[in-house]
Amino acid sequence: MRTDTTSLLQRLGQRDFRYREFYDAFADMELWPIFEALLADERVVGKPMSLLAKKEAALPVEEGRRAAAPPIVPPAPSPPQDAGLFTRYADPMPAPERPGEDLRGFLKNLSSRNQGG
Amino acid sequence: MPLLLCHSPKGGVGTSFIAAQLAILLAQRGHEVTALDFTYQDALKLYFGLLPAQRLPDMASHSGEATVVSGVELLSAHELGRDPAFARRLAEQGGASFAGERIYIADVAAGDRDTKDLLFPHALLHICPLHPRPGSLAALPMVQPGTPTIELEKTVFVLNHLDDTHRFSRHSHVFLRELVGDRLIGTVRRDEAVNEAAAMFEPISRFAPTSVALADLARLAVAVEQRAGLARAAETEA
Repeated sequence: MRTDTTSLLQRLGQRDFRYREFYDAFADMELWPIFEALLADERVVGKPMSLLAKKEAALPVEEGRRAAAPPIVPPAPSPPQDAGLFTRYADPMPAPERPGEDLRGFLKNLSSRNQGG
Repeated sequence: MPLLLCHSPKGGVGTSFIAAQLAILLAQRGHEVTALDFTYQDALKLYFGLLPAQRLPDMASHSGEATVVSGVELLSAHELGRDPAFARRLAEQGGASFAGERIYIADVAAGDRDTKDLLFPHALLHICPLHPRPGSLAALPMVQPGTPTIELEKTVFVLNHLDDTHRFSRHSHVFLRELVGDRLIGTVRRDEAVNEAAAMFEPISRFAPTSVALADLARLAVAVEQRAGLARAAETEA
């Protein structure tokens, strides 16, 4: 049992209660048709890359282009001191550093998993 | 100082609630904040504990005493959003329209695209609340027509009413995190205490100080502050 749960039980003067943590690993996520529709919508994800653009994107990054790299994303803000008991439950999921970069891979993974049963 | 524009392409997702709570929490963090209600519904004040019959001073003709609640100046801007002179002034003054130290938080109704389009170029940050519901997600292509949603530089998203006990809610969270990355700057869990506090005309912090939503909102305010560069500004002033 997690320490914050134990602490809550102590405060409530109880020894146990029905406890369940709701969490889905990425691999367990379903490709709901609405997600698929959004990932196929150019108004959401932009136009698909051409073959040439894909090859360019796959080339090693040159020194000169390194300078134009996107700024480092600042670390996620630490929770306020008074956030209390539920703070751990709200820990943000790790975010991809470059939104959209792995989007098609994301779709491909979900599609192949759903096709596979 | 900046304009923070709160607008979602789908109504009923808690835009006024998010705008009000951000205003209150940023004021608590030491900023001077004005909340502008551009909506016809005039519901922003409810989250400050004001009664439906209480009228906010109109921004267009405001010159008398200010209505200040929880450290936030409250103004109605519904008429102003329809005033051609206001649009002209915005166009003429450009970035200077919201100059100064004060943070302006605009609450704009989902269907009022004219006001949203009017304010968007002047906003430092566009905060787009969403619900983990198909109706809200289906509006993602309409966040800023003409620009793919994942390429919107100054738009950040807040997933409101998140409920981890519901499968689609959890999956929507994972999906949005993958789709927009770190531009999903916060989640606010569903908590009936939010409704009850509004019904009691009380701030959540007093009505339900242990509300999970309150803790999430506090994290969101910090994230907005950092994203908009307000933390640096506050430190400089200090």
